[in-house]
Amino acid sequence: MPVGAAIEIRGLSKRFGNVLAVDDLSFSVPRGSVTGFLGPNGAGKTTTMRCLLGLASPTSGEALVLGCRYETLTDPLRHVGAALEVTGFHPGRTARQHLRVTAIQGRLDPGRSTAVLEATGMTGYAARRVGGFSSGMRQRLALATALMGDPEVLVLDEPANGLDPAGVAWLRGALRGFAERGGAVLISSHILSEVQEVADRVVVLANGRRISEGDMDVLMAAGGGIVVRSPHAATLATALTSAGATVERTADDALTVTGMPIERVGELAAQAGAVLHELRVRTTSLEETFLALTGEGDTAS
Amino acid sequence: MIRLIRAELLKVRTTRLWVGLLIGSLLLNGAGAVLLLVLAGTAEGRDAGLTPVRTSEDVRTIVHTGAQAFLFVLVLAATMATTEYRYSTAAGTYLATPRREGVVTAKSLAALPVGAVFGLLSGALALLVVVVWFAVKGGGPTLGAPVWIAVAEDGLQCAYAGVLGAALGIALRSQVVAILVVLGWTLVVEPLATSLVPSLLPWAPFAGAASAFGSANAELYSRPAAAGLMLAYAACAWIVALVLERRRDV
Repeated sequence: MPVGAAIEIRGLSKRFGNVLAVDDLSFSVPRGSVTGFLGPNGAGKTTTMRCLLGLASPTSGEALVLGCRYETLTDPLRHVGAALEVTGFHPGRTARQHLRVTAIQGRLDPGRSTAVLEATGMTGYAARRVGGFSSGMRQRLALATALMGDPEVLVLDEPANGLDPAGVAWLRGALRGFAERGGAVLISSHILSEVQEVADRVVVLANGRRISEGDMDVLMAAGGGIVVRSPHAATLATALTSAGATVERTADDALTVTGMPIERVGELAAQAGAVLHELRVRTTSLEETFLALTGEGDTAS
Repeated sequence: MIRLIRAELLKVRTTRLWVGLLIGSLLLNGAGAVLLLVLAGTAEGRDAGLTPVRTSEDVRTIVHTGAQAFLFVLVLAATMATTEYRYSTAAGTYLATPRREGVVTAKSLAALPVGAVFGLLSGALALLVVVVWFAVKGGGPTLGAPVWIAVAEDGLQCAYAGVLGAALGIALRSQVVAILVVLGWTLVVEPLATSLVPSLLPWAPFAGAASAFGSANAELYSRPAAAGLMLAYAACAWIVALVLERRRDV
């Protein structure tokens, strides 16, 4: 496992009958970071999380959290907090009763329920039955449940679903704070702008396979290329192409360059005697990058 | 394990199904006891094999109506597992306790006292009906040890039903299917099979083994043999539930 990795997925495959939901997937989630887990509907994100958390058995490969399989962790809720789409609540229980059940099952301090209810803004709803909760309140209770054991790793499946704007802002702050204290977060979401705001790294999945993994900045820069404006665009384009870059002429005086670091572009421009009016990395939105990578017109689930 | 059993009992207590089933069970058993007392000694009662209530053994027969709570216990115990899938709380349970054998065992063991309480209360209610009946009518039999043993036997039969119900719920996962299987087995399959093929009766889990602790079928086995068979059925049910649950994804 790489130094600092809290989650390590190695060659993970999961087959349901004839459907290969996850196909030889590998990636890691470092400590002290938020990693976005993106992919279109049915890409295999939830299945990967279920395998990671011992709820589903991998067909092959392994999914490790804190260096071992989830099932082998002692008191796992003290180490890993999870909120999956597949986790639910009994509608007849109150929020506090639900947390009390979780505390007893997970050998946790039941007294922490007050703190996590307060942290998630649910104090006023503690005595209400979950059956009457809105989807946003259910989401907050799921997050409260994940935080009950004061874990060092969070695995969250679509945590922003159903949250109002204030809730989304709270979630963003809470996850950033969690990561800054050294925690590791793996978060799947279809609200790409939210992932872009909060994630340091991104893993993009399509058809069960990883198609990209890396730092958010690098990923978006890679998708956008380098923008160059020069009155000597033709000369510069020839020099850059000869040096191995891919060059697209976007206007008489403008080029988009990919496959070469920005420093090298500047050096080649100087060598070619090309005057530069503009030289910058063109960042794209995560959505543009995501659609380019997956080739989908749909966003992730 | 005690922690997991506590969690399972808390899950039962924090829902309202058990209240409805307990009330239903008590109403049914109370009405059954009244019916037996009304019929005992009448021509219709004699035709049905009921004798006038004169001895503590006669009272014992009425108290054993409390064991009819086993049907309610089977349903409640099965739903202890099936609601986990109906409301998707199973994932939360296994996130807290990934060792599935621990969860399966805790559910089965938690269903044991739940069933026992249903049986004991139902038996005690039947006994109360008898006491009130003769307090109003006057006379009546002396209550001796056989009566108290009968109440305990009601508890034992229902505790056994609890273990089987929990295992059934874990194995089937579907609430509707589990309830249909419980009702179908106890109300149709067992009565029909044992009446068509009487030699099956000793092997029937409820009409045979469990009822040996009631007023029927006591001649089929010794008490230890009946208890051994019940224990074997409970162990088999637990093993089947465990094997299935360990294999399946949540």
